[in-house]
Amino acid sequence: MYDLVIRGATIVDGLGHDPLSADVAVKAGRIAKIGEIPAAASEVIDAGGLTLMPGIIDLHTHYDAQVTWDPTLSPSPSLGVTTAVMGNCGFGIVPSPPNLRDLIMRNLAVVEGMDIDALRAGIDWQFQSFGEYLDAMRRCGPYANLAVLVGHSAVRTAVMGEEASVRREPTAAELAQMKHLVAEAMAQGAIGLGASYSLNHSGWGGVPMPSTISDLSEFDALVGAMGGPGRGVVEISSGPISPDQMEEIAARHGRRIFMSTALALYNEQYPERAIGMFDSCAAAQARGNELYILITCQPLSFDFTLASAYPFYSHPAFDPIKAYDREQLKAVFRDESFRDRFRADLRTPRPGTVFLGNWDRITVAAP
Amino acid sequence: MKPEHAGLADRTIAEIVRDTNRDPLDAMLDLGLDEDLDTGCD
Repeated sequence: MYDLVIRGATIVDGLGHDPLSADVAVKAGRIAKIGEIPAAASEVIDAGGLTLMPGIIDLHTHYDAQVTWDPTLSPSPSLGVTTAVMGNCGFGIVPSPPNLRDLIMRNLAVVEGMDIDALRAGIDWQFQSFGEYLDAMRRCGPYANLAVLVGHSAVRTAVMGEEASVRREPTAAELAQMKHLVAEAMAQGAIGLGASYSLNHSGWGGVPMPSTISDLSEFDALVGAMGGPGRGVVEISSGPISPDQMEEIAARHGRRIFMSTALALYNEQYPERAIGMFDSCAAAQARGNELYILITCQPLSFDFTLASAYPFYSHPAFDPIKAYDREQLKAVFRDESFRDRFRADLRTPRPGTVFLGNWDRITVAAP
Repeated sequence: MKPEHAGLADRTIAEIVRDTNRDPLDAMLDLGLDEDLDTGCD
């Protein structure tokens, strides 16, 4: 006898097969059979021709703050998501020493385009450590399963404070403390480590997000601190770091590393580049090193105005003006020398930059 | 958006400067400056 039979659904199995009309039987929480199932069950659902599919695991979300006031994780469950991975790029909100909470929120507001007032009003800081955060998540009853990464930027901020976005080298004691925080979070239930070296990741006032200025040896040390070979996963917005460098780290620690990078998105100005990233990962896997690319299933897009032109911030011409107010920006944008610098940046973009000067890709929005 | 720019909505910067001698970067910045940097882009 099955616990549950769902009858008459059109099944989309998520493996690329054609949809199939069949029954699904569940026993002890697992799918026991798919096919024609006349047997009785404790519970029978007549799907009546509705579509049945596996829940989507959304590998790249930033619900870390929102979930503290919105356990529905709006809108993901209504789109079929049943598991959300959070803490991506290392932008989680714990560890959260009370004196650094506003800094954490200010950086998050900019790097992920969230409203600072909503963050300040919304986050219920019932937690300081990673473990306390997970406890709070369990209490809030999230509508989807949650899988949380401990963040490189988060631990750097917790240890170095405002300096985390300024000083490249931590002291030996600071690095030891970061490693301790990563190991502790892993022991408390983190699924792995999130990190970023993306030049597109700026925080409040245009400061770089903390991990992006660190030496790669710091990231390497934190990957090592996660535990023995095979323990946990790493998600990294890898920016200009090459697959070869990542493979070395994956090999050294026996760690599974997932790179999420704009370089793996097709770009008509560098048509071979994206496929080259996948080829590099395939070659790494053939050598026994688990290096993978995560890619979006739709193009990356931004809505912006010139008052906050985030997609251009990775160009050096914008480095000095990210914290400018509207009047200051207007003066700069009128300045021919700024325009020439911006044009020069577009001719020789930094690796990993999102906007490369393709003006077919910028549309004036309808009011 | 100012009424005189309404015809630019839903057009790309590349389209807007096609058939003109204008540089696309200048066109984008000039449009933004003319609207107090509030022109939406996507």
